[in-house]
Amino acid sequence: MKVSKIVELIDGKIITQNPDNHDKEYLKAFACDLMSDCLAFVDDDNCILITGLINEQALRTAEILDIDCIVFARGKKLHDNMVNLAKINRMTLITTQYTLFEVSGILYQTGLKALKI
Amino acid sequence: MDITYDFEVYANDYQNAGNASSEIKKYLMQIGFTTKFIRKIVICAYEAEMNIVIHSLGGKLTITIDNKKIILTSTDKGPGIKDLDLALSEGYSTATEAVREMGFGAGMGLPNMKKNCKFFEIDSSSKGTIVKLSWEIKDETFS
Repeated sequence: MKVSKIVELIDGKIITQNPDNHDKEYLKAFACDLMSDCLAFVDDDNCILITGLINEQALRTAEILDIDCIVFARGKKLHDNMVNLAKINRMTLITTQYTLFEVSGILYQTGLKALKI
Repeated sequence: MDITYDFEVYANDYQNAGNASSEIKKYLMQIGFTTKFIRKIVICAYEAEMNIVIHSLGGKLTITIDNKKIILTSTDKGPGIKDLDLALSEGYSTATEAVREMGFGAGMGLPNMKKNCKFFEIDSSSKGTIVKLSWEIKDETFS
């Protein structure tokens, strides 16, 4: 699933986009506010992260795991330093008003798979 | 010949937490290891870095690379881990509510490090904790 499709499905807003992953096909998603759990379970760079955690550590965790697309749920506003960090690390950040549960449900129903843990 | 890099990590410095691990990742990428191999090392580096920031009075991460292995050492200035067996079990954490709100303190740090390295050693006293992790370098660890 491409970034454009994800944005369309969750009524999202692209805050910054990595031009390299414009046509990348994401296959899986992991929804989590606990970064330690992301570090423990994510092992797939075709995976997007769905989170409500608004801080630099969400970006750092994604960077460590080679995740280059993050969806921030619950209509939260991202800090400028998060956006700068995303640009440096060539990541796509998307925000949406939907809750974590709704985003997960919509994207699961339309084709993204869960990680096997 | 060994190559060694040290990275200072400061207590409670959440703003810069992750910088050392990010630098380590870039360095390992330059050497040309596979993404999968680098990920294992950097997950450990990041967990160790967060542990220093959250639980210690400050410390450092050291990475040493020779022809055969990579050694990552996390050294802090205390106060030490009271019960090592508990700290090594999944889900046990002494992190505060504020730390949990930042996405950490799930009790997965040390177990996660143990899972992602080849050799794991830990020693802790009130003077500090030293965690030493290592990986073997093989032909297939290069991309």
